[in-house]
Amino acid sequence: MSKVIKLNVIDRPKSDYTGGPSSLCPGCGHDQISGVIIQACWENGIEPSRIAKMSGIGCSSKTPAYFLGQSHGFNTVHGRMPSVTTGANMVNKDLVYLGVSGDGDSASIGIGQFIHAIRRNLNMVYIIENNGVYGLTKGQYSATVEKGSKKRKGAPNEQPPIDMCKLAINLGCGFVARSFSGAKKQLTSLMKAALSHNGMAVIDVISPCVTFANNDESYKSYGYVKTQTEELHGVDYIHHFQPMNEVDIPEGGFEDVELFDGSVLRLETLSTEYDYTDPTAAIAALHMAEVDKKHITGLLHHNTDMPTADEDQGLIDTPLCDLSEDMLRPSRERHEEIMTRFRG
Amino acid sequence: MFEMGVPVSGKNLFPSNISGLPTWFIIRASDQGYQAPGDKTDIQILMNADTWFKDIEKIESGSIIIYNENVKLPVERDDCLVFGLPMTKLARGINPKMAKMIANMYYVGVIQHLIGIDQVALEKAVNRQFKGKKTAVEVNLRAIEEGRKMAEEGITWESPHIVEARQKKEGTFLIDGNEAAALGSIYGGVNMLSWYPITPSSSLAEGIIHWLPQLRETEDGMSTCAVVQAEDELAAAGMVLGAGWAGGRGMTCTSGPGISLMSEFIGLAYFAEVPGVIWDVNRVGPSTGLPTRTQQGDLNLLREASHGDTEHIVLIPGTVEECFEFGWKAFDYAERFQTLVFGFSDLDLGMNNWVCSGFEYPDQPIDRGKVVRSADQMAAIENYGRYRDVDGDGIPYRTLPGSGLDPILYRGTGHDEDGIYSEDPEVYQKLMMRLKRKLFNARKHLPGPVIREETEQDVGIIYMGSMENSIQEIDDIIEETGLKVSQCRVRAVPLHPDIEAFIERHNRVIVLEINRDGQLYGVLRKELPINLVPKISSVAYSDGMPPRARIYAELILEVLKERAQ
Repeated sequence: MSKVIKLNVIDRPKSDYTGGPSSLCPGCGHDQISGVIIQACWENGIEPSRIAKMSGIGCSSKTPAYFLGQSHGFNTVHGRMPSVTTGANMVNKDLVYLGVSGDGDSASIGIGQFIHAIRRNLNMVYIIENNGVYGLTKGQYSATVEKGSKKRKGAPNEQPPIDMCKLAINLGCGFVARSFSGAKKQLTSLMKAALSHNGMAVIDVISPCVTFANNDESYKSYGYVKTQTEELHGVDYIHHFQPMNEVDIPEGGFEDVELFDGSVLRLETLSTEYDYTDPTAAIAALHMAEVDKKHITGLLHHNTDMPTADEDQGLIDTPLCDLSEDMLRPSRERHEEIMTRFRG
Repeated sequence: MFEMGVPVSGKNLFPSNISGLPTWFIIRASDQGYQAPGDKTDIQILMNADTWFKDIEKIESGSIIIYNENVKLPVERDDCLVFGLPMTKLARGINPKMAKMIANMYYVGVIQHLIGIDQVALEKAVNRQFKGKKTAVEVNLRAIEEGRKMAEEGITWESPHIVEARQKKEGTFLIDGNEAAALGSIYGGVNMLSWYPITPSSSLAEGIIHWLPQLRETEDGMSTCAVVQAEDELAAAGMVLGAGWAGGRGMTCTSGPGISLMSEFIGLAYFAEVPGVIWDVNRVGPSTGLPTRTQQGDLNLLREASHGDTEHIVLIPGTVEECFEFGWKAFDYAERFQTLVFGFSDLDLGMNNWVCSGFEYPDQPIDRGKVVRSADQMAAIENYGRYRDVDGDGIPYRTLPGSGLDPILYRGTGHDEDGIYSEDPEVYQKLMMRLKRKLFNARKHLPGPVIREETEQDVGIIYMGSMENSIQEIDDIIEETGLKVSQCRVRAVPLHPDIEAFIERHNRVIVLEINRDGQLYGVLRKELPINLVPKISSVAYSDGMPPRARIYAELILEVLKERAQ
C-alpha cells in the first residue's frame, strides 16, 4: 500500500517547502528554526514561488539554502539584508519577504538598517537567530550577549546586551515576539502569525550555538534556556481557512489576536495576565526579565495601525517590476508638451 | 543676455555652507560660444565685505567695478572705471524686510545701462526667475529701473563693453545636468529611487521627485516609481540591488563619498550579476574634499569599485542632452549586461545651467535584457543555469522572484553555473573569465566617442565629460600656435574600439582631464595595446574650479614641447 502524502490547503506536499542539506554543526538551533520555517510556510499554504528569502552574512544567513528550495532568495552582504529587502519590496510588493539574520548581522553591523526597516514598517518577517556569538568566525561575543554570560572558552561578557525586542518595540514595531529554537509549537505558531501580519514582524529566536556557547554558563545554551525561561502565554495559531468548530477551546482564560489575513493567534493565559497591546508593559517585562537573568517568550507586542512602507508610497496595484513600457516611459506626445513648456 | 540670443554661461561658485559664507556668480558672454570661465574679469560687482579686498586685488586695469556703497569699504582703483550706489539703503526704501535680496537688483539695472541689455529680454528673465509671481516681479523690476536711472545720471565714463543681440537659437532653453539626468531616468522607466542627500547630487534625486507626479503617475494618481530616502548610502545601494534582483529598475545618485560607502554592494552587484544604476555627480575629493567644487576625480573609483577583480560600465555625459540620453540608456545597459551601470557627471555639468537644444525622445524601446518570463521561454533554452553562458556572449539568462521559474539563492559567495555555492578552483576561474568577457563585449554597444578630426591628424586630444564645455576654447588657443588639433571625447568605459583607432591615426595624443593623477590616462594605458601607450601623454590639472581654457591649453603646449625634445 502506498503512503498517503499529506497536502496543504493549496495541495502541496511539505517536500515542496524543503531545501538543500544543512552544513551547520549538528544540533545547531538554526536548523530547528529552518524546520519551523518549512512547517509554517507549508501549513499556511503559501505558494513557494511567492516567498522571497532574504539574508545577510553569518551562520544564520546561510540557512536560506536549507529551506524553501522553490523560492528565490538573496544572501546579501553583512548587516544589509533590510535595505535589499526594501528595494525588492518597493518593486514587488506582492511577495512574502522572509528575512533571516543573526545577532551579529542585526545587532552590530546591521543595527542601522534593522532600525530603519522598522521605522518604515517594511512588510516582512524578520527572524533573528540569536545565539550571542559570532559562530562563523569561531565564537566571539556578539552585542546581544547578556552581562555575566560566558561562552565555552574565555572570560565572561562584561557589557550589557542590546535587546532586539526592546529596541523593536521602542521603534514602534507592530509585531514583536521572542521564542526559542527548541520550543517548536510556540515558535511555529508565532512564525505563522508573523507570516499573517501586514508590516514588520520581528521574531527574536534564542538559538543555541552548540559549538561555542552551549555550556550552562551561557545564557543562550539549551540548558540555561530550558530552566530560565518563562512563557508569557500559551500560543496557538488558528488559520483563517480553518473551521472554528475544529478549534479546541482552552480550559483557562484566553485572548484572540486578530491577524491581517483573518487568522487568529490565540494567547492562553498562564500564571499572570500580559497585555500585548501595551508597549510599556512589554518593555517593563523585558527589563524585569533581564534583571532576573531570565528569558521571556511569546508575543511581546502587537498593533496594526500603521501603514507599511509600500502602502506609504501610493503605488499602482500592479507590482512595478511587471509594468509594461507604456507605463514606464512618458509618451512622445507628453514629451513634446514638456519640451514646449521648457522652451516657454 | 540669454534672452537676447547672446551665447552665455553662468557658474555659481559656492562654499559648503548655507548662508554665512560668500558666494560668487561668474557670467561669461562669448560670441564664439565659449562656456568656460574666462581668463580675466571685465566687470566686477562687489557686494560682500569678506571678499572685498581680495576681489579688488585681482581686477585688471581698465575693468569696470560696480559696488555697494553700504558695505562702507573703499575702492581705491583709479585705473578702473568705478561706480557705486547705496544699494541696500535704496532697497530698504522699496521693502525693508527684503532689502538684502532686492539690493542685488540695483546692479542689474546698472549693468543694463552699461552694456545695453534689452528691456524686453530683461523683463522676460525676471519673470522666469520669479516664476511669474506678481509682487516679486514688480518689486525687482522697480529696483532694476531705479538702478538703471541712477547709472544713466551718475556714470560719466563710457563702457568699453556692450552686448549686441544675436539671433536666439530657436527652441533653446537653460537647464542643469542634474535635472536633465533626472528626466532621462524617468524616461528610462525608473521604478525605485533610493537616495541619501549629498552635494552635488541631491538635485538629481529632487528632480526625479519633482517630475514623477507629472510624468509617471496614472490618471488616478498612483505612482509607478517608489522613492525612498535612505538612512545612508549603503542602504541606498542595497535598495538598488534589491530592486534589480526583484526585476525592477532601481537607481540612486550620490557623489564620491557615497560611492566609497557603496563599494561593498557594487561588488555584490558585479559578482551576483544584478542590474542597477548609480549616478555619481563628482565633487572634489579625496575625503570630504571641497564639497561644492568640481572635479573628474572618481573615474578610477567607479571603474573598479569594490574589492577583488571588478570592473563596471561608466557612462560619461558631456552635455545636458547626454545627461538625459544616458539617463534612460543606463537602465537598458544595466539590464542588458546584468550589472551596475554608473552615470558619471560632475558638479559643473550637474549644477550649472547650460544651453540646451531640447531632448530627443528615446529612439529605442526599453530593453529588459535576458529575462525568462514563462515556462515556454524556459523550455526553449537548452541547459539553463542562472550563470551559464548559453549564448556565448558572456550574458546568462535570469528568472525573477515570484515567477516560480528555476529559483536560486543569489549570493556574493562563489557559485557555479547553476548558482550553487562552490569553491571549486576551475568553477571560480571560469566564472571570473566569463564576467570579463561580458564586460569586454559590452564596450562596442556603449556610446562611442564624439570625434572632431582635422585632416592633418597631428595632435589629438582625448577628454571626457564637462571638459566638453572648454575644449573648443582650448583647441583655438593651441591652434593659434599653428598646430592642428583633433578632439575625441570619451563617453563610456570600457573604452569603445573607435578610441583606439583615433589614437592610431594621430601623431601625438594628449589625454586631458580635471584631476591630479590622470585617471582617464590610466584607463587608456590599461586598455590600449601596448604599442599605442607611448603615443599618449597625460595633462591632468584640478584646482576645484570649472576648467579655464588657458590653463589647460598652456599645460598641453608644455607637454607637446617636452615630447618634441
